[in-house]
Amino acid sequence: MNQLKHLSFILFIGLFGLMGCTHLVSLSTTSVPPKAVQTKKIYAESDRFMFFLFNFDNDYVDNISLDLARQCPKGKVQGVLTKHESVTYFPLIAHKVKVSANGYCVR
Amino acid sequence: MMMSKIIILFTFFISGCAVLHHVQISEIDSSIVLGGERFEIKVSEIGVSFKEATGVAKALTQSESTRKDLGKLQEYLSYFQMGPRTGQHVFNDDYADKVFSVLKGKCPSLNYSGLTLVRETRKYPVVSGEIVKIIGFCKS
Amino acid sequence: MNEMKKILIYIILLYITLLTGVGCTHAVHLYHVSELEAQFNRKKLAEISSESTQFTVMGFIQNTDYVNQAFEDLKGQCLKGNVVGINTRYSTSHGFFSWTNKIKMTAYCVN
Repeated sequence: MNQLKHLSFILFIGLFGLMGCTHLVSLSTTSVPPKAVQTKKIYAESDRFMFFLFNFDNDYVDNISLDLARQCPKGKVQGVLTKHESVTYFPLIAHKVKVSANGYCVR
Repeated sequence: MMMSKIIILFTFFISGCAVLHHVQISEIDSSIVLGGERFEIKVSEIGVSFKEATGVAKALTQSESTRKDLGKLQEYLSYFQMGPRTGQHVFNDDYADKVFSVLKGKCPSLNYSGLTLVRETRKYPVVSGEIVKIIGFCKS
Repeated sequence: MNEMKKILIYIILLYITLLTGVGCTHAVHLYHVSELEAQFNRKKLAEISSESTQFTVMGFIQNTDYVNQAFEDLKGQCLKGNVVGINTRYSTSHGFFSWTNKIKMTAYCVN
């Protein structure tokens, strides 16, 4: 019985090792500009923390392109890499969905 | 039996869960995004989960043989619905095609940029909304 | 006799299912819209469209050439111009231990 308790406790602690386990759900890219104009790198992200995987809308992704445009007000954002990731803090209980975009500001 | 009814009520309580499947962000022309008008296009179709529908039907019936029959029927039906799936099954696959004409309506100049393309599901018990959403910026 | 009755009911129900198309389901995986560059004249746009399919039994297929075919068909409709504003729909139609992958592309041809 004691051994079972110890094992359960070790497994429970071990689960915390899964904190922040991230995996890629989807990705997309746009055409990359020539290396000569890849001078300014910009980045924007948005995430949503979820308890028990409850999530009632996906509006958090709506403003990412606006954030990128604000970092490059007088140019064009090209070579955009969009990543959609899922982060597990505690299985079934605490998760996060993160959408991030990297790009180059080309003037 | 009581447990099944509680589960059904619980699923109605947490109804409207949104699942994000795919996000794409296109190139951004800042002059259009910062100086233009934001538009949003949403097209959707009703998706059906036959497994959940069978589950609900099973929970509502008292007869064990009827439950077995429902399970078998759902199994045989699933043989005709094989293949990769994003979200739930829909009965019409060209619901997203109207985006092309709707986009022209929302931005008649076709001078758009900063597109965010989202494929998501709005999940309810048994049914779901399979949504294609496009957010962009348009300059006349 | 009861078993025979049940089997008959299943067959009738499946037949009705197939007739009404309830068994014929689909799934849209993604929809993409590409840019329409500023330099193109919006008044000289012609709509073009192409579609290709790939039938597979239980996923036993070794290529995704249908995607390239749809793209080539689209470009073939606009040989003397530029293909812009490409809308791409990728979907699957489900069937009996098989399915059909579909790509539909709609775009503008600028001459």
